[in-house]
Amino acid sequence: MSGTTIINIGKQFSRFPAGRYKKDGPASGEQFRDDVVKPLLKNTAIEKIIIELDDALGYGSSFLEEAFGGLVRDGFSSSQLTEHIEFVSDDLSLIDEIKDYIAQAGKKND
Amino acid sequence: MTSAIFIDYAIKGLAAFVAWTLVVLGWAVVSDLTNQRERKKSHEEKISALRQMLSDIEELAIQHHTTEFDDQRAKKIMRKIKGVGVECSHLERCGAITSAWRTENLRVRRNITLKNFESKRHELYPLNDNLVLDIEESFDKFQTYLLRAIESNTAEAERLRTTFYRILKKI
Repeated sequence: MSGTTIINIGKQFSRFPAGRYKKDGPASGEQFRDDVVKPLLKNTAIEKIIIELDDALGYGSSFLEEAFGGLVRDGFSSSQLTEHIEFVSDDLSLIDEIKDYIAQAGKKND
Repeated sequence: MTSAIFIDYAIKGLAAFVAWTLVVLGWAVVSDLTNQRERKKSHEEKISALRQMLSDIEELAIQHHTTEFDDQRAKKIMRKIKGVGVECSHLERCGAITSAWRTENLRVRRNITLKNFESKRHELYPLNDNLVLDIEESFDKFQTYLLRAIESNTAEAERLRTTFYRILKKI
């Protein structure tokens, strides 16, 4: 069985996702990665995860790096993430930045 | 006799057709060029507004890293950077700027919010610290990029061929 799931960060996680680690606050990159994205990536029934970024009021780079670069450090390959996760945003630089964190973390892991 | 009259009417008709075609074509070219000028002017105004937004963000960002943590200010910075990103994406889709703005915006966001953006670990940096200087440099580069975008937008010569092509596409 295969499927697609949509995560709207602003509506389902926080309107102000900020901070790197859980100790930094309730809507950190680490929390988003561990509580939201990782369980979906481990669910074999889900083939595609669409992450909608626009309803949050803004992002800190530390959040983005920990949430997405952190997935690579936690054992997911950058190609696996690129294949399974699709990002949607009106701010095209945000998507480039996330992809850059995934690629950079991938290079460090190699 | 009849064929001479027919030829006379045909020539007059053809002349009238050519004259009207030229009038309509001339009107279409002038109208299209006016639209293009308006579009360029609108893009230039939007880019100038962006440059002002960037100046505002730079001021807030330096305050953030050199004075006590202020949660509202941190949120305002994130919102404004998002605003710049959305506006630039729109201008890229309109063809007013190239995709190179993404690197500039990415650098700005990263230099401001990758380090020292968490309230619990916030530190005060002196104005001559590399963190502050990197922020200033990234804004300078973004401003220069936008200035060049205005220049190339203004300097771009409109070719008659392009105008005709656009008019034909409309038809």
